Amino acid sequence: MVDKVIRINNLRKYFKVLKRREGFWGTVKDLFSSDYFYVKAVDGISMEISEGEIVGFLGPNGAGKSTTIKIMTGVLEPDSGEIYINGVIPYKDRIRNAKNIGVVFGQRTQLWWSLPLIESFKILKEIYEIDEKTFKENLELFEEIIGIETLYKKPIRQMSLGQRVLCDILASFLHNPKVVFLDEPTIGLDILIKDKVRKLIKELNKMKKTTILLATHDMNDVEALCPRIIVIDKGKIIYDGLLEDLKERFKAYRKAKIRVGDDVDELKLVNLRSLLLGNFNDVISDCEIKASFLNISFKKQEINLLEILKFINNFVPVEDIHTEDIQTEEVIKLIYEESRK
Amino acid sequence: MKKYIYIAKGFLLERMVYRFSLFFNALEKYLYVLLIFFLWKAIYRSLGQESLSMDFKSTFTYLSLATAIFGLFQTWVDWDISQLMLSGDLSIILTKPLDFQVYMFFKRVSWVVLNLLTITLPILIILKFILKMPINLGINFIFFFLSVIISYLIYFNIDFIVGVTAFFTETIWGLSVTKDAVILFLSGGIVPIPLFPENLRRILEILPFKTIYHMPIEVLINRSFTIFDYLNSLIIQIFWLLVFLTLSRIYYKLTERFIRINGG
Repeated sequence: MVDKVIRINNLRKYFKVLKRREGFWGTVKDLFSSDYFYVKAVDGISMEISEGEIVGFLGPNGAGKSTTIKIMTGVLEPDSGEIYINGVIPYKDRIRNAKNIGVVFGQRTQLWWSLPLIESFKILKEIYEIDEKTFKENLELFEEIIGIETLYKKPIRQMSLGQRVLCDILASFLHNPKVVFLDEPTIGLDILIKDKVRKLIKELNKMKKTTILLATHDMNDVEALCPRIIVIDKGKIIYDGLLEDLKERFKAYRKAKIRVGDDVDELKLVNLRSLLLGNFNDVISDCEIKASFLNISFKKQEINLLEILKFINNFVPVEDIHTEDIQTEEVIKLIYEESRK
Repeated sequence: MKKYIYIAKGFLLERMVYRFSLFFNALEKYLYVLLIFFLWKAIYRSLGQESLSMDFKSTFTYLSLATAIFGLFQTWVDWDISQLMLSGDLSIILTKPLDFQVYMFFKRVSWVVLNLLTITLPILIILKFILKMPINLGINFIFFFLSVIISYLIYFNIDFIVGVTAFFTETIWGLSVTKDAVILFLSGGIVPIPLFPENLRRILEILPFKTIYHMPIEVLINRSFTIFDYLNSLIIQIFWLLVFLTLSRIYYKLTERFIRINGG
């Protein structure tokens, strides 16, 4: 019990939203309307996360990730359910909770916009009452991991988005929090910076044993950082477990890239596509046409690829094939789809 | 407490980066003082000295001081809060171990410091030493100083109440403009309170508005004030400060709970 840094049981949060009508008179009527409906942002979530874990927090847009994080940081109060972060109930004791957590919202910054980075760090040092020794140690550690000394004198507004995000992440670790919430830290970054961000998060987690909850849409983040993932949709958890296990579950799915003759006309391929989906509707989950390629996802345990190829060959000549295992991205897509059926 | 002082220092440094904004902000107030001068010159010329209970010099001094204090207090607390709310940046502050109201106070106090240096002090110096207006340099200055501090604290709490109303209503444009106009008018910022009709003056006497501009000005320029009068003004101001502080605390607790439940 003690080593569970995050403990949530049957958490619910519904938002009351006014039904908006269309047009001018609709808007006028809205002024006097009390016609509300409820949005189930978080609908009975339970989870436990231990010290030092990095957990990927996934879900489509509007699934309730940000609401959950806001409840964990004490900004929002749940309608019902239990929540303990480091043993503190965040909405009851926001300030005590705030001392033990770090937060990064990818699209916002907690740093002073016009001030050099080091000034922001010094202000944070006071806000979190960090002692001189810890502060120095952390700056040295940051230097060792990522080498940002050249940025210290640069105002935030002059930094590139990537530099700013790196600094924001460092800032959230400055006071040695037990838990850090990262809400889409790699959004809008180029591949090189994304790599740096991942390296930074990984090192900080390893060296400080900080528990990290990483909300993201980037599956490369998940693969690089998170052994365990929690997937939510429409406010409910649809998967909580190891990424590997999930992949194992969908291992049956394979992809085949089939090249047909260059001179096959598009219409014929479209017809073929609907025939394929009709004839093998249980085993082929997806089929897309790209130039002279057919990209097919199918369950390999239930059908032999050869059968599909034979079928296709009856209509158009098959020139080349290439098969691959399913990617994380598609696994997540499949699980989203599965839960919505 | 130390952390809030560092926050104020941070925002002070940040504000100083924008030199031109500081300059024009001050220039506007100097021009307004010039406007008061010519406007009231014309009023006195057409009405004649006898029909008014204050002479031109006192009226001009009174209103210039009101402008100097208004300039000092203009820190846009309410706007800032509604912007934080609308942009969602409020969440960032709420994830820090800070009291939001105290945080806002120290954030905005940095503006007061700069307003003091760029608006209030220059106007005071011009009034006293260049225009040689009737302002005493004695114990009244000490009480003036105290009085202005308390009156800012009252003003801040009103501003804060208006600001967090944005948590309910999302926009406070109308409310904010109304607040400034009402306070300015009922506190003597546009027409000196001694020039108000007798009945209205009696009503203003029991309302809190006079504590904001009228009282500090009176303390500074009323030559008939005794030590008893100074202390009396201070006690009245402190009374209203406590009232508004309590109100804003209670109101903030309500709005904070509202936002915790309804989201940003």
